[in-house]
Amino acid sequence: MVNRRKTIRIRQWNFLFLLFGGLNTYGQSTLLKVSVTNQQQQGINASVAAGSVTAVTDATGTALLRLAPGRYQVAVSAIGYTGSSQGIVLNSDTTIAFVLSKSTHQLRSVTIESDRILQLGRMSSHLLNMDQIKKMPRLFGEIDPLKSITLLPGIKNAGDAGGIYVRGGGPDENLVLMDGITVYNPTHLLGAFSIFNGDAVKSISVIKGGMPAEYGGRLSSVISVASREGNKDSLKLNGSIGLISSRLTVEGPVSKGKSSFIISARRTYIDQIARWVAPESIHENGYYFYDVNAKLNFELNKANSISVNFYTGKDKFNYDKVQSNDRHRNFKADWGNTLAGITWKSQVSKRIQQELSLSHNSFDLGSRITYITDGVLFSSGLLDYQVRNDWMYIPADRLKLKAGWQGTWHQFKPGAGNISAGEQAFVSKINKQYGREAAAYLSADWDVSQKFNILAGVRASYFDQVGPKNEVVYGKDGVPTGQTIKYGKGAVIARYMYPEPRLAMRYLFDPETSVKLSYTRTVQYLHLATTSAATFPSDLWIPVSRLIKPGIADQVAAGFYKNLSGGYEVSAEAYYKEMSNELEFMPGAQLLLNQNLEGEMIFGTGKAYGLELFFKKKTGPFTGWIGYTLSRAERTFPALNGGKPFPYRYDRTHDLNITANYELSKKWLFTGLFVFSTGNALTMPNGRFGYNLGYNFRNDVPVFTNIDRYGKVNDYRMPAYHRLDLSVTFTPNPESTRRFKSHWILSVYNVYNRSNPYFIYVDVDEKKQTIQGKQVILFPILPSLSWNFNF
Amino acid sequence: MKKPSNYIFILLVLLLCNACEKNIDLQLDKTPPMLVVEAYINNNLRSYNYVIIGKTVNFTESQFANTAVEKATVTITEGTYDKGKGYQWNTAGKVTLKEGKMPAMHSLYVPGLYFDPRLIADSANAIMGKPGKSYLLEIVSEGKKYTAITTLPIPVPIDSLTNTPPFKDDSGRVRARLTVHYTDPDTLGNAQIYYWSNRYTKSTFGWGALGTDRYLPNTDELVNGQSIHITHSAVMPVGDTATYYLVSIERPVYDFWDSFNKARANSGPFSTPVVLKSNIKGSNVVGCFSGFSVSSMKHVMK
Repeated sequence: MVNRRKTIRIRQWNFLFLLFGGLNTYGQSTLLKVSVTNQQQQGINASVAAGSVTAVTDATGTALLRLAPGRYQVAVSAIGYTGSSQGIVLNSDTTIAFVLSKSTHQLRSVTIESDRILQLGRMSSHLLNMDQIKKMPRLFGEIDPLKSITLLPGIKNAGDAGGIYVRGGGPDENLVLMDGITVYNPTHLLGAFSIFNGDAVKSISVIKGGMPAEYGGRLSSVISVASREGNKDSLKLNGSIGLISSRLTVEGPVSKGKSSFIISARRTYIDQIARWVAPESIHENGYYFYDVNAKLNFELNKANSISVNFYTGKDKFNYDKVQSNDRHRNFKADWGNTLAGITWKSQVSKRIQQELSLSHNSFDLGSRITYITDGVLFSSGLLDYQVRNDWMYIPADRLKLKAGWQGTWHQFKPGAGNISAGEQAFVSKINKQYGREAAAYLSADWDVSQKFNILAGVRASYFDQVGPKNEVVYGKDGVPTGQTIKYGKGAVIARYMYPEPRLAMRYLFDPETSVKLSYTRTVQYLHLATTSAATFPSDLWIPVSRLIKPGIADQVAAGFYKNLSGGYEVSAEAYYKEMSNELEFMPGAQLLLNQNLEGEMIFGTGKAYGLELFFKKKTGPFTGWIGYTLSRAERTFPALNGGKPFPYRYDRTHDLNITANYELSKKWLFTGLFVFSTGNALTMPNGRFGYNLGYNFRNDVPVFTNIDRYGKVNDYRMPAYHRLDLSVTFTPNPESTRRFKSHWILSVYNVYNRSNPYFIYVDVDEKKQTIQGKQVILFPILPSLSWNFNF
Repeated sequence: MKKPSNYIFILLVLLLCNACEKNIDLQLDKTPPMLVVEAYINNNLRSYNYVIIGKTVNFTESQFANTAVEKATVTITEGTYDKGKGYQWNTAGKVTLKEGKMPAMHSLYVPGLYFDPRLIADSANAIMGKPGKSYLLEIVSEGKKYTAITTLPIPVPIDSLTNTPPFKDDSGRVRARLTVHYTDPDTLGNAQIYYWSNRYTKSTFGWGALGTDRYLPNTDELVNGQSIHITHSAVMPVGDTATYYLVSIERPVYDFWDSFNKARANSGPFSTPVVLKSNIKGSNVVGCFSGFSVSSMKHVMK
């Protein structure tokens, strides 16, 4: 098919230009493949324009455009890099490669989205790259890609720590991916930090609605983290030394110019410092976390490449307290994720690409509590093996087809433990559960005209829970009937299959103005079992079963996008989302070591709607954005609140985020961010009574236990959350041509020391007969300093 | 213990925010009161068959303990349950409980505490529960009627009582912990509550004043048919005589006490609202009519 190929290699100021020509086998349309990399030959996120046709590069830095033969000026732009353009005469299928150099004004830009969002068929999505995230103010000096996305409209977190909530969805309704591998517990320290080491991450993207058909399995969003590839040319070392943690990254070529490796590790050491400062009182007590990322990339030939990813991380906590010579408390826990995957990418032909990946992930928790005669050993976790195959085919001018399939084998360990009470050991093991999840999809990205684009697709998803399992049969009153149903290995216990239609439309009024409309149906077959107001590592992921139905969400969204002169951009999106089969646990439900977990569940529906406004300044020494969300998220459960709708715990009427960067000179960069949001909704007691009464004649006092009485669900509001963070980056020798480079970052978290409540609770002292409201604050004002280097 | 693993993470957060807690003024809603019923029928302690009726108060009121509801009409009727016929009540034997000065209460008049008046002068004939029988509680208060039914299961016998090796506590006194040994019947769904009396409870009255293990109301889903050996965490002086009550209860009563234990441990941060389960029928009422089938045994702490 391709019998003639010419290569042009041009080195100019800041780019390398490669041109491969081929015969045009498709009549009047030709295929232009644009590859955009940085000087380390890593693909970067960029926007590409050739005449009126635009595209964005994928995670490998590649964009494909179908164009009629003719003369074109091909322009590429990427935030943090000097843009470039080149005139070409397109007669046949052609490949061009741009190598962009870092911009001297790289610090000025805030996001790399620029005009891409406006012109993309997809809507409700954002992408942030690490160059921008690294400039943001930090908590304890830690770069946090996951937290940075909560500064975007429609994406919220619980406060200073906790899960992520997108457009009224729950913390388990986000598909968190690291290089395509699902991450079930993406945080350290109960949500205060994410597991994503900033030195190992290239970019993070989030899709809040209008999800393309290749994504599924969660109701509310796709949060995709792309890890960095190693440098293919030379060995590099970079790191950071901070007050509570340090990071170190080594990268370099395996085969120069073709294959590379990168290993990045970090560990907190507040436990070690505490032990050094106060060895007598600290002993072996303490908390720390670590994580290690590794990635290998092999370019087999021009058309084939293989990448291998690995991540492991753990949190470890130990607390020992001897209260008296017969009272001894010990709490010990460690938990963490391990991910591993291998991906083969292949350019099958000029018009066909495919990607095949095999991955494994696991999350494990081990814990032990002992107090006097009581002791609990508890472990839980889950394990996945996944295979995924994606194909892209460009059959005709302005049409791009995608198809693929994936299969996942799940194993759930809902809790196995050994409860001991004194001499007795109640050994108990809850049945493991097994599930098989599969999906196939087809989607088309069709430029109906130069102005009108349709991105339509359908995903068919399937889940079954399979044996082996001995299912205890419970009566209506929750008492086991004594009967069990035995399922053999592989026997289907429950089976579900749903079609998930996806549709997004874009109309471009002019290159600077567009409107979009989307409809998305998503289905989720796994639920996170939590009863607490916080998300804990002990929360259990459980699959759908005969009783537990899959969650289903339908979302419609409409948006308006406009680029203004002077580097400004505005957008507005409105959404309406309905969710069914939302799951909650009965108040006070016993979740751990409960064979009849399903008996503790109640089911309801959810509804969320809102308006998201975004205003961004993209160029000049002063850049930044303002995001504002006006929204409502509610739930309706027949068994709660008398069956009436009630606000979701993280319903936030107002949510405002302001991020600003100011580059004073090449030496000094100042960054600030301000967040404001309506307080979380809580259920608080509206009455109380004494129960389990007795009388003590010796002291002449009644004996009783105080019990709270509750009224409406989530009827109480915590005070509003607001916070200002500031950061300054100082680069001593920005013009240095030496290999060794360094800069300092001073961050102040919560500058005006706002007492943002992490929790509110009531302290009732029955002996003193007092009632006092208490507010727990997680992070007061926290300055941090880190020294960052690379050579 | 409930949600035991969560405790680790709660502790971690509390250590993290050790210095970051402050008092705030909660402005909570006020609601009209609700009737609260605490009623017992058992087969072992005659004076511990009583009914306490009270009302809820607004959350921030300084009133603690019981807000008594006086002058209610309270009756208990024994009966049997027949699968075909339902409950058959012996209405001729209906017992009316009254407020008064009971000897077990040191002849104090406690408003809202209703008991069989025969406990005053003819205690041998006062109402006593029988295993296998059902009991109907009827309350009429302020013109409204409330009812509840409970059944006493067959009591589970105690095999033996022992204690842990003695040790000296911080004040130098020699103490030990009590261990109960019993065999769970080979039928699923049994539930037990554990109570004891010793020198500490000598001058007390009521189930709420007895020694109990707040962590262990037990069901046998995970230990059906097994030999059970439970050492309670409470310490007792060596030489003391403990009377142990192994209380078997039916499932709705277990559900109530289970929710009670969850609710009582629920005042801290990270708590979720726990609404007490109730087996009392009527409008705006909460509580439990607890049928306790008691096996008891004495043990001298060695």
